Amino acid sequence: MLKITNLHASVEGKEILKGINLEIKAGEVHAIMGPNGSGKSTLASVLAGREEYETTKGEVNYMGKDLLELAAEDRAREGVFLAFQYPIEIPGVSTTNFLKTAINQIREYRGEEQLDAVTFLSRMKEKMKLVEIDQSLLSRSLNEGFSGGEKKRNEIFQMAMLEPKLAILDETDSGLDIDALKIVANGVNKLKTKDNATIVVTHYQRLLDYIVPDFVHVLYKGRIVKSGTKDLALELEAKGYDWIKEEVKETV
Amino acid sequence: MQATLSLKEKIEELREKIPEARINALDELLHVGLPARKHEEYKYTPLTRFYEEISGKAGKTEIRPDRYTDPEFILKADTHKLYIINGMFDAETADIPKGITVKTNDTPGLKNPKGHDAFDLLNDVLFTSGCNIMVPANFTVEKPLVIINVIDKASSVSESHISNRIHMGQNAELTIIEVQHYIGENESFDSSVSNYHLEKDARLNSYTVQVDGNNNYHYNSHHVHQESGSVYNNFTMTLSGKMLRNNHNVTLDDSHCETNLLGFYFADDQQHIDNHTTVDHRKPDSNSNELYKGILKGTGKGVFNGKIYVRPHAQNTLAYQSNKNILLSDEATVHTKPQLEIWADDVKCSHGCTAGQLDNEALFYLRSRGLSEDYAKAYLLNAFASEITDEIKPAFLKDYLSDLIHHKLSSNDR
Repeated sequence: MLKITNLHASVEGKEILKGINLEIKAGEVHAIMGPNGSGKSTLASVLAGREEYETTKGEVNYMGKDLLELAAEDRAREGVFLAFQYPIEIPGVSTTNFLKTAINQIREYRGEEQLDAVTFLSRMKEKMKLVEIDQSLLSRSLNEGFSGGEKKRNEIFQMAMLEPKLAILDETDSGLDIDALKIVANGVNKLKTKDNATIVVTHYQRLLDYIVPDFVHVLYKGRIVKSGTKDLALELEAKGYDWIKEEVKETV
Repeated sequence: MQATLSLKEKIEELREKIPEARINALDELLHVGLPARKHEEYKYTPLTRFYEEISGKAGKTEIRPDRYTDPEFILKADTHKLYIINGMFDAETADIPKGITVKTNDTPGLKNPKGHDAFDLLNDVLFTSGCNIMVPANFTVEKPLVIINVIDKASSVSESHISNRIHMGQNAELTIIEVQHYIGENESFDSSVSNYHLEKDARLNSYTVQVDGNNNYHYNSHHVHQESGSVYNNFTMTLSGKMLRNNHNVTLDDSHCETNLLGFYFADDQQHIDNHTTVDHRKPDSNSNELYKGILKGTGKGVFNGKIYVRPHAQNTLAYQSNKNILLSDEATVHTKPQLEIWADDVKCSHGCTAGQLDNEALFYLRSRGLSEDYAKAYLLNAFASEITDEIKPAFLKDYLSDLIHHKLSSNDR
């Protein structure tokens, strides 16, 4: 589904990603871990099409298309979804309202019929249950006055509504208490099918107790320096990141 | 300064023709002159230059009520209507709500002309008529009263000056909608001065609608005087016109008054919109709240100046002011200046102003959900405007103005 080859990216002239290689197949869950500043969020942003990041080298092939050539909205329309680390507040725009427009623009792009109001609402009701989010929250200004947990649940709610093929969760666990974490993880797990894939970007192993990854990759200084199974995450939890840093030093 | 001399001559000529009550304003106007280019209150808005230019060219316009039709949104709405056509209040067609009095206004607005904006003085000398509305005590006018100020400039360059008065008796309530309506493509200069007096516990909701016309220069001035317990709400919406200057002056002259000033302006290429407000807290325990928002596009220019005075006796005053601007191009400009002068010590006042571009993070967020860039921008700009338009009470006006903004936002390239 996704093949990243030797990806280099920089922001404001500073190179952050220095040759990422990663392949993700449908039905898989990949966790990207790593110490602060290693480039995890940059990778998520580059994949979602954030314009401040300049990709200087490498390729990203997504379902046969050159992902880097697509505008952010077209990536969304092709089925890429980014759950934001810091979901922003937009006064005057309600989730319900913009999501309806978004879904219909996506459908138009795909040459599908517009979603009528009744179908939209019934789909909304169904997905709201999934992340235990209240309708009143969704008719309010986006994320304005929401708690940290509510913001993250709203991200997963939007993911549920948009039914992406490739979901990228950027530090979705940050700022969540254990109950909120379980709700969010449960939502993500229920959305998992054999046809979609998930990238979980996280600093801590905690989230991976609930969203069990097929593969774990450690990102350090802009490169994937180690890959393994979920046991690697447990090892990192027990030993921290220092031994990885040591290993990298030795190989350089 | 040749132009000023000719204005002087023109004004001086009027001395013999105007009523005694206007002579003070005339003398003061001759004394101070219209604001020159470097005048503190007009340094961004060269209205004087355009006034002199247009005034020199203005012809005598015949008044032809058959030549205009109501703006569509008013046609459909259930309201009372008053017309002022090229400076003359049309008493014959006036649909006056039962229970209130509306007469032709011939009372000059200024008791003491000292310290007034020179365009107020000019208006006081030159205004031809307007309406004088009196709402008796304890009376509520149910339907909005629309005052349509028609400027017919189809046959020649036009200059006109009107002056309206509203007196609200104790505990009276009224909603008025002042609509500027221009006909024809010629240039015009028109001034409109309104004097409102609110007795104890009166409530006046006023809407100033400047969404029509091009090639027009407009001076608009409101003087509002509030007695105890009264509530004054104004909403000023400016979308059209070449250069507009709005002065909104509110005096809270007793306790427990409430003043809410909301404004929205959207200047596109070659448009210049200037809002000056003054909120004067003279007595304790009153509240004022002010929010003006603007979008500047192309070479559009915006000016905002908000003065708040809290006089020594005005303890326990709450006064808030905010001005927020979005600039959509590199050539668009806004000059914003809050000016607070506070003499009392036990007050809560705040002010703030912002001028910036659309939030890139917000744009990216919406795009990452599949919205096109144009849609995402329109979404954010409509949301920016809706904080103001959501406060418009008459549904027909709210729908109309929201649609107009939406239309103007999507009219061409963003």
